[in-house]
Amino acid sequence: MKRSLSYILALISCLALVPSCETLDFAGFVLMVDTNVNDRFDSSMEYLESNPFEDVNVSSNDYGLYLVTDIHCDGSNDRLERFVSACISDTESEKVVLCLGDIVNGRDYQKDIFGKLSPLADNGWRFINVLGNHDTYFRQFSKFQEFWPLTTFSFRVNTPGEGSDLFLGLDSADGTFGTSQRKWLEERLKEAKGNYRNIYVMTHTNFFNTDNTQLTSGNYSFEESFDLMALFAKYGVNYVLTGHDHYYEYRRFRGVDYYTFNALCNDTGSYYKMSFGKELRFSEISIE
Amino acid sequence: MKKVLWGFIGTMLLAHGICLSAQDETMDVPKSRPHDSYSVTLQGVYDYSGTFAHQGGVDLAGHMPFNPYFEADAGFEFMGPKTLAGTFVARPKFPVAVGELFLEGAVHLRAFKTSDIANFSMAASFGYRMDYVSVQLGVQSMTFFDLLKEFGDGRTTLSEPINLVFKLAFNVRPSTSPWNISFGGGNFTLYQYERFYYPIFFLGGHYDCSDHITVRAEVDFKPSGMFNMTTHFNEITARAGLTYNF
Repeated sequence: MKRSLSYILALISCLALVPSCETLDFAGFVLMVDTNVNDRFDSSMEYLESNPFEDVNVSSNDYGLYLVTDIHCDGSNDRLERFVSACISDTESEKVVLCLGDIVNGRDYQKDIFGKLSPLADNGWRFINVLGNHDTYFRQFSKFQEFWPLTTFSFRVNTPGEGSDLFLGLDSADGTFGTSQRKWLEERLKEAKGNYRNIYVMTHTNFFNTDNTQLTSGNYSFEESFDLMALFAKYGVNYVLTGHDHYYEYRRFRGVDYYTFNALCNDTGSYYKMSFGKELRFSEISIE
Repeated sequence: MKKVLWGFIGTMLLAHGICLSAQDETMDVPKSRPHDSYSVTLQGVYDYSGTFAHQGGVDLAGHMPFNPYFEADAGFEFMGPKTLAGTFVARPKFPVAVGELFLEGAVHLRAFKTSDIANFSMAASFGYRMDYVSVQLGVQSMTFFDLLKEFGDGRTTLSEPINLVFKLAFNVRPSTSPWNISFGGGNFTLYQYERFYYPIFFLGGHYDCSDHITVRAEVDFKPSGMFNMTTHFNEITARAGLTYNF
């Protein structure tokens, strides 16, 4: 009786840890979510067959773009609006924003976010986004997909005098690239090797966690981390751009530069003004 | 994320409470573990992962109970041409009224031929084990080695200095039973140490065929994205083999 009561109390307590949380989807901690990286990859490839991803043509060999990650928009602050205003007021940058995922925080903010981003589109900007784990929470990937149908894609940025840069947008929301996307990535890199000025990988989940600022955050398994790191080095990827851990970190491995960028949602919310040339340079801009 | 950490710690404490409660009802079992015998285990391994697909290999493990207060384990795993792992564990033990407390120090090396990268972990943990349950919590420090020595900037290693190790295991029978079924989860086994947020769940069992021969089998399941809260299948490993007890 005593043991049964303990089990029941423990079960109730554990269920209390899966609370009416509006930002974290605790169900995803123990259950497979309604969508997975392989399904999303198949969906992206199907979409791309009839809707090819448009390349970007820039007017300078050293071109400027904006980069933002982990917006976690939930209506609690105006950082996204201020970021959008800053982009639009910059007349020197190419009209492109790269986002490394986790746009949403909680449930049902996709329409709100799309509304807040609409001034970008109204002014001719493109918002190129990869999927983050929070974007799939509460079984709402389909809502994300209404606005951003692609989770795996590639595009070229064509410069006037130094050839093209290749950008690969990859889905790591599940803490894995999955088998299909991994295969596609290797094939794409084989074709690309030596044909581009620089190759950039954009994905949400970061590779290293050396400063341990977010202990519980999820990266890849060791075997997958090492496999991907070796793959990037083998096929000449130059830069890997990630978010997820809400802090800035830089590491170099076998000639590949790995960046983890700070989050817009932090108290010292950050976004980045990037300068893509033969080398990557950028400055961090904070929104209090 | 702090909520997740506190949730995890809470769950561990609750589970520990359950175990103590369960132990109260089994006071007829021995209060401390018997002095086990020296043993060698040889197992065949099958592994499927999203990274390596199908792999096969062999595990060789040794158990060395020097005395009731100190034991050691060593394990080596050869997974085809792709992975090689080795671990040595030293474990001082302190029998108490119910079960025993233990400290554990471990060194672990796992090298991946396909990427020419190795992971070296040093772990220190403390634990409490009884007939039906074992809990363990500690820290590990990990270093990645580039076996090609091409890390860039003159460096050939990267370190993640502090990470947690944890394990919670249950038995359906007392540990002295000639057969048993065990299940649980943690972020390390004798053949791999993972990051805190990459737990490995296991279900296994053994049967003592004679005084010297034990048959054993185990299945490990390692999901991806658990702490991304987007859990997804990643890896399953099956082991089966024989233990010779000296």
